[in-house]
Amino acid sequence: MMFSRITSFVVVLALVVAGFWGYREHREKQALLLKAENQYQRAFHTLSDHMNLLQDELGKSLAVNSKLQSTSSLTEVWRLSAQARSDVGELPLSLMPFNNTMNFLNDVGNFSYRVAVHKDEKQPLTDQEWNTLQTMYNRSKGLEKQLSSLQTAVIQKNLRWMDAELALAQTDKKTDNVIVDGFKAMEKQVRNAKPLNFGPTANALKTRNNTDVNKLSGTAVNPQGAAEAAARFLGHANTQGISAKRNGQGNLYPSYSVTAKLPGDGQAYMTITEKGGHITNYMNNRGVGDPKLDLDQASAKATAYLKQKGIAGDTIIRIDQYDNVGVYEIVPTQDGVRIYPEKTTVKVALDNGEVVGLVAQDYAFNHVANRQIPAAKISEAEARKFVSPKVQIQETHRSIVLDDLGREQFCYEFIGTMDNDTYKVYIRALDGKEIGVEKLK
Amino acid sequence: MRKKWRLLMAALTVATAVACVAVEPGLVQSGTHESTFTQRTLVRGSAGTDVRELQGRLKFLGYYKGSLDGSFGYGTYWAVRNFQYKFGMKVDGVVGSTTKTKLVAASRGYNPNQATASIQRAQGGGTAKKPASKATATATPTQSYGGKNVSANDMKLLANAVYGESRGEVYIGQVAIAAVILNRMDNPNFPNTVPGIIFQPGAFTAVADGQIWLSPNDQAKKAVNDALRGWDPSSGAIYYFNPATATSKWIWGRPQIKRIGAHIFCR
Repeated sequence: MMFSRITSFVVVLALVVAGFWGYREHREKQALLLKAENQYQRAFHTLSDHMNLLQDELGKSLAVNSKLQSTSSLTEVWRLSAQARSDVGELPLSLMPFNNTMNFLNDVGNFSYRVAVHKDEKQPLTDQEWNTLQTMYNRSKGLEKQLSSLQTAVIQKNLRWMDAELALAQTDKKTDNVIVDGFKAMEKQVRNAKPLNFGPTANALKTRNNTDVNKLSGTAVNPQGAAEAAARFLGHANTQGISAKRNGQGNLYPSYSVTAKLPGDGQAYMTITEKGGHITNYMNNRGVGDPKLDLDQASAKATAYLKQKGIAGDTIIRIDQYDNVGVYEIVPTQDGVRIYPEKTTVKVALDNGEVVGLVAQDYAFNHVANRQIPAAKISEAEARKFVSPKVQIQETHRSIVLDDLGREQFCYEFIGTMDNDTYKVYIRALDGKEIGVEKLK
Repeated sequence: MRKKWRLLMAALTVATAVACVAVEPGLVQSGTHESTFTQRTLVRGSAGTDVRELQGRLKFLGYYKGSLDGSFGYGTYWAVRNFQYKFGMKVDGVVGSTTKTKLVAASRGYNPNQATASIQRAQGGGTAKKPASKATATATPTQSYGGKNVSANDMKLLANAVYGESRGEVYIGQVAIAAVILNRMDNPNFPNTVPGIIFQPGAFTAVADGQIWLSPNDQAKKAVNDALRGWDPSSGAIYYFNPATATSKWIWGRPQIKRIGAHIFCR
């Protein structure tokens, strides 16, 4: 009798303790879930706010006809579109197609930047620009409307983003999650809309990646031809131990992935273009021992290597070192003009001076044998005036660089110091327009 | 007997001469300290304790104004050129044996060991210093690689992500994953910063399950370094997935580029 009373007391106590513990665990888990949910809610409601402001500002830019006013609105559009993109990045939407909407936001941002901030002439909007802005305004208004009605639903029905995230993770089942459906509807609307017309400059911005196959020399090669190109490049007598596999349709340009067995423990991994069989990427993944060469000695190896491979490149523009390898960025010069679009990157193993890597994509796509270098319309001294007088100029070069639209520009390149920092300023040799500034480390 | 004596004397003379030569610099330069300069020629891009000494000596002489970070950047480069100019040498910014000798002679009284020690104290004492022979590149706070601005801490995050996502993958596959993250920076569908991409909800499983916080090995760091400098074995991919575990139907619908190890890379 006595015994069972003690037992039952202990059992009851244990139950109470376990229950209390369980309750506390549950509460903590709820608190964490709520925290995560609130993060999503914040990002979602901010996104809606930013979209609302964005269409407001787009509308304002249409209503005025002075450059000054539209500039301030469009600069705001540019900022808000970046904000909205960043808000989307905080939502669990990475497993659902939302790329058309993101592209639209990006286009809005780029276009307003181009028109407002970076336009050469200080004049009001052209008709075409006005029409593009008008279309953007209408579409962003539509998006904003959808988003705000979804927002209302989320608030009224107490919808949770955590549920949306779960629904997205199980895409094999048909979902009826309001949030997911709302975003899918938005995406569908943007996808079905006609492509926007941005005019020539902004369209150039979209095709900027510089991997236009038409710029490659030569004819298409088959896998065997790619393997042969690799054998020639590596100095192998035949294609034994080399396998070339065509890359799928998602790549930037039709190409082959080529692997080759190298003497020793090395394995070569290359990307070779289908057109012309150009090597754009080469990597030898062998272990590199303790350095026996310094970066200065190895730089001679890097330039000699390019010469041996028939790649133009004589001016080293940047050196750095990690893991016993020296990495050299090299550009060719023609009549003393540095050709930056034809840059190659060479990796030299500092244990024996062997080249264990090459990036020649820019070179393959941009190399022109005998370049027409335009005559400078302003002198170096005149160009110098476009650099701040506070910068002490240390070096001057002439160079061809790509501007932010991917067009080649003939520039004076001034490397100068201000306080303890070094800057590189590119001034167009035709009219003194500033093409770009870099801070050098 | 006499011959043997003469031989001994000759040997002794040689030994004394050798000893004198060996001791001589120490006697002459009493008051100066031994240099830690190595045989190697220093250029822009070099890093290590010898670069730190170079900076220390140039600072001692007033040519260099930056911090003694041991990495040969533009600040050091201009200091070297100014020094070379003032001392009538060839002005090329390359620190070979002539420049080193002149610099050591000019900066007599500078103690490289003390300078290093004071830096160590300033950095919180006794942080492991690498020997000069193993000059590893100490990343500068922010570097731009082909238009991408990536800070030293971004590189650490990248290495963490690569390690957490592709531990046990072939090296090429790891470089490819680092390249995918960098390719996303230029893509409008993704955030345009390294942390924004890595911590995008649902983007990487290693972030979701916490494996990103494992400490990465040297291979993962090397893969990040290679990818940053333009090596892209993925051929421009912006997605990848493991076909054995991928649950999303949508990801299978993306145009595929290639398979490396366990991952399919797509766009």
